[in-house]
Amino acid sequence: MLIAIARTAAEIEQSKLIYLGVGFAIFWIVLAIYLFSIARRQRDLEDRVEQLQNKPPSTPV
Amino acid sequence: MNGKPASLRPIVSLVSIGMLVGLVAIFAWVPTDCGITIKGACFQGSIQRMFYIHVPSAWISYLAFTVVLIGSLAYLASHSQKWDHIAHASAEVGVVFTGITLVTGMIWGKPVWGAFWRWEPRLTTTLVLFLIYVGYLTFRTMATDPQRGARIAAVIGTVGFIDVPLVHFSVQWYRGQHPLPVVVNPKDGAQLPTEMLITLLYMVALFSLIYAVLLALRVRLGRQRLEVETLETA
Repeated sequence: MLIAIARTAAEIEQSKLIYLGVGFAIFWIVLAIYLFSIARRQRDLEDRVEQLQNKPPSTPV
Repeated sequence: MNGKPASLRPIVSLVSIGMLVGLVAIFAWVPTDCGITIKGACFQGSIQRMFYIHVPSAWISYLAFTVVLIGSLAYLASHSQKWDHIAHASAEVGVVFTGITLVTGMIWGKPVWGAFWRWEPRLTTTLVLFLIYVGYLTFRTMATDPQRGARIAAVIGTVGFIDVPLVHFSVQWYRGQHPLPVVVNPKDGAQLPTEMLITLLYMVALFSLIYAVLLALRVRLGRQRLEVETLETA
């Protein structure tokens, strides 16, 4: 009886640890995706500025 | 452009070190919550440690939407694009952290309540808050006239803030299943053991730093976009 209770308690605790791990992993993944999204958008804008600054001035035909 | 924008690497390193210290505190220093036991197992047990991500994320969502309110009101009063950039950036960061609050809350709810989601006041008002600012960001993306778009977004950002106090006080006004506040509790004061309180305050400070950094990066992105638009029309 006591062994069964202890086993159930251990299983419950183990499942909680898995949920906890998933929660922390989701937090890190979301934060990383957001940081990379900011970095990517910044790089795109920098490329665009470079492109616009190197564009030869339009000459009247 | 005003010089080359700073790399993200130092910020990521700083946040990673701060988080590492936080994780050590959360998993090695703070005791496991075992106030109530059911069938030999702690009622909350290790899942209570989700609290150190969930509560600071919720705090950041309040902070972010307060900044949206301030930025929106300042934009409506002054028509300065600086305020519009701040409001827009803060709304985006706020949506990310409200999303984290909802997801971590759902993951906590499964082993404790037996379900990922309950239509109870705190959860429902938080979901509404998330959707209001997702709507705000969607509107910003779709707006064709930048001036008019910024003005309407400022109104949405101001009116949308009404939900923030509703979220915060929902646990007291409409008693649901969500736990009552244990830190800022006007009736009983702080009810947390010292280790838990210190770790929570540390995580709140760390998350506030993350918010400030993300906000600064996102505001700079808004300014750069404006510069690109100016160059394109020149």
